[in-house]
Amino acid sequence: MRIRRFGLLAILLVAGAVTTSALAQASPSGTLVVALDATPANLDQMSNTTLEVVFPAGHIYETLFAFDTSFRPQPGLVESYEVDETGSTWTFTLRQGVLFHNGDTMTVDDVEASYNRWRTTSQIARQWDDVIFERIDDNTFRLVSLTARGNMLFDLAQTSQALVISPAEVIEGVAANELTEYIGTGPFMFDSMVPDQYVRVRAFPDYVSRDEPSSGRAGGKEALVEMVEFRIIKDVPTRVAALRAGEIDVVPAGISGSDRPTLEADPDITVQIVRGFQKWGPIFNGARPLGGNQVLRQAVAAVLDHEELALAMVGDPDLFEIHPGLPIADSFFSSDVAADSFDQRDPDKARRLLEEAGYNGEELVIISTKSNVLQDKMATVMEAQLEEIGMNVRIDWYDGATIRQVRTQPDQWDIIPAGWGTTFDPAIYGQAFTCESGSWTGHCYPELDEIFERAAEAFDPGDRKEIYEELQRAMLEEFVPQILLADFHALRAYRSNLSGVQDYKDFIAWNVSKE
Amino acid sequence: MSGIARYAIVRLVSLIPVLFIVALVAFALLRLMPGDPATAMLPVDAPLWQIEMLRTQLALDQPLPIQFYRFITRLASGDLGASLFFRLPVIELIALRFESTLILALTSLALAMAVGIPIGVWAADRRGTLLDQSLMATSLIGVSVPNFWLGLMLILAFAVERRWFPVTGWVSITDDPVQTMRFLVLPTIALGMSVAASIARMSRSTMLEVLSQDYVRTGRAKGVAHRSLLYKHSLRNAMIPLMAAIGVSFSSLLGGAVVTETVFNIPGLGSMLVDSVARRDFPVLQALLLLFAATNVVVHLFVDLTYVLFDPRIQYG
Repeated sequence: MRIRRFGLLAILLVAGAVTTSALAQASPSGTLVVALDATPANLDQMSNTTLEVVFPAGHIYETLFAFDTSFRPQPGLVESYEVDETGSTWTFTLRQGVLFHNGDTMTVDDVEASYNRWRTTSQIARQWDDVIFERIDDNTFRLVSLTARGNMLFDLAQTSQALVISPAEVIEGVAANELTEYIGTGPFMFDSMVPDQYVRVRAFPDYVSRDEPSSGRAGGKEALVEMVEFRIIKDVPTRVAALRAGEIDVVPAGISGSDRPTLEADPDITVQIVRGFQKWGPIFNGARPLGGNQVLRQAVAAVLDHEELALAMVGDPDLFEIHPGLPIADSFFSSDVAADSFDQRDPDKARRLLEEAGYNGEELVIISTKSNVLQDKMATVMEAQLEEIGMNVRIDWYDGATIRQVRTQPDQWDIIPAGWGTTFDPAIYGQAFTCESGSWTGHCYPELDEIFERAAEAFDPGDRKEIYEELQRAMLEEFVPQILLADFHALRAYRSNLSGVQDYKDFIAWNVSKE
Repeated sequence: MSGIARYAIVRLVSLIPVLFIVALVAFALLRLMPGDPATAMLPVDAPLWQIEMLRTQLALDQPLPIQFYRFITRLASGDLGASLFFRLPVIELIALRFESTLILALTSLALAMAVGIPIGVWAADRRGTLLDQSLMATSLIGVSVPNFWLGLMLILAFAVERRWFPVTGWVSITDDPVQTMRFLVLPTIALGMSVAASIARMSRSTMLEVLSQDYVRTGRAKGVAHRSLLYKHSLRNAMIPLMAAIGVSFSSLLGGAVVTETVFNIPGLGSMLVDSVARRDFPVLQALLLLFAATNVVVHLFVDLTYVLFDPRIQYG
């Protein structure tokens, strides 16, 4: 009897131990397969802006700050920060005990090395010439600039050409796009990459998560799957077929509107609309007589029918939203200022302005490509709309690689259809429309530069919003370097056995589980 | 050394000047092509300073004669250079993709021959009958149906609705031959059917020509069995022009299965060629053009050598 009792106790103890162990180790399992529509050349997130780099690399690397779902920067690798009353001296304290995937603990030395490299690879960092990095101790550093830096946290939270933190010994002296060792602090670590086939990242068991609730790229992160495979599938129908067949789990973007009914009819698939995924519109070449004629640009803005253009571009009225804001709709800096100068559809006004501009039937050259449906349709419909007011328009068609070269040759074009990623801070337009940016668009207006500078220095978000409204008025009513047609949304589809998929602009695999 | 071996060696040695000319022409044409690797690799809104920095990194700012000298001296030592896009040795990238292309080309050609030649022979044998007309009408449809459409229909029917085969991907034959075969079935059908159709039409016309020869009539008059007359005496003679056409098909399958590779997401040389053009990845393009030229020479040499099998009167050396 004693033996029996002992035996029962032993069984219960063993069973209890097994259960406790199983719960404690609740380890991630399964593989999440995510389709990418293009091949990343590498995973150097500091040097690249493309989604095929940002999607996988964004799981390996982390930034000092991270955007939440409202696109407000929240602390990431930083524990806390202070800023002086002038807004020019920022002191940051790092989270302690954050481990790199090679097992080393992150220190300020790694942040300084990452910062130094970022200054050479990033377009945003070109505006950081007056900033000095000061090391205070192993966990604290200071960024000091000559002027106030209201957009400091926004810049630190960017995911394109991002200031991601890597071990100093891995990145010191490595030029842009020449990184070969991918070591970060993220919830997933680099596993393998086969060119034109896949990128695999696997759960990092020693990841140290933040405690806050997850929101966008900010907050707590947990790898609930063992492996994430980013599989490169370039053909849209093939991506859709692979999703329907259950071979892949997620198509994060790049589904055409015509596939939407089929996917929505499939009970095993969930379809999301990712709002404000891109902004598109024609950019004028400020270095050419026509593109550089401000009144002529206003004439073009007066005649364009944004709805007709947007519908032709995406073929589904649910996949765009027309509003005058420089940032995407419903974001913090969004505003209706200068709405009268937006989507006017006024041919009479346009003709008047053309006359005022001294237009005499000179040929306006639009460059475009058939390899991008948005550029293709925008150019075609715009040509028709401009011809209605008597403009002499020619479209020069190029393949995708050639148009990228032609747009750097100012004597070749007047208008190019161009897009921006999710735009929640209008500061990004400074990359194309300021005198200092070394811009390829040929626009240089001291008045716009001055507004961009004031916005960058404004520390209070409310003040910045007012300055951005000023910028919006100047860009829509006066300078018109680009006519932003609409916010274009993306379709994201995934197998319904997944839970935790966010409708955030980037696809995020942490906190996603697969039944 | 036998005559045939000497013939093969001479043909292979003739590859060297051919490859040199191809290298020269490829280098020149690619540099004449509009578009620039640096702008192709960077985002569309990349600032000019970044483009210039990348051009310097990739040594594209060097004068063309220097670039050509470096390319040709490397090539002479067997080094095909490194991809501008991936910064990996070109030979590694080609090795990753050669297997799938070769196997797909072989299986598609085997299917095309297995289907196309018998159809062509039957149709020629029953010239003018309903069978002949329906076989040729079917083959006309086979030639006309676009590969991508057939591929997508096969995917919908046998991979999405009935999950018998995978939609996308590739498993190396050294890792799992059974899985490789599963991945091969649909693309082989999609690619092989149009080749089968054209082989069928060509087989029929060459067979018709042979069947009208005097020796066939004589054989028939002498009472040679119909089957023997058809397959042993006629088909063997018809195979010589047919083999030349099959050789051309095989060469184009090796480099031109772009659409099928794209639809089935197979990492092959055809899609690599298209991707590299879009990326203006000159070293990869140069290497692929050299590879295709060499493959063409070798395939046609092989075809020439097979003539001996069909016509003992042909001798080399």
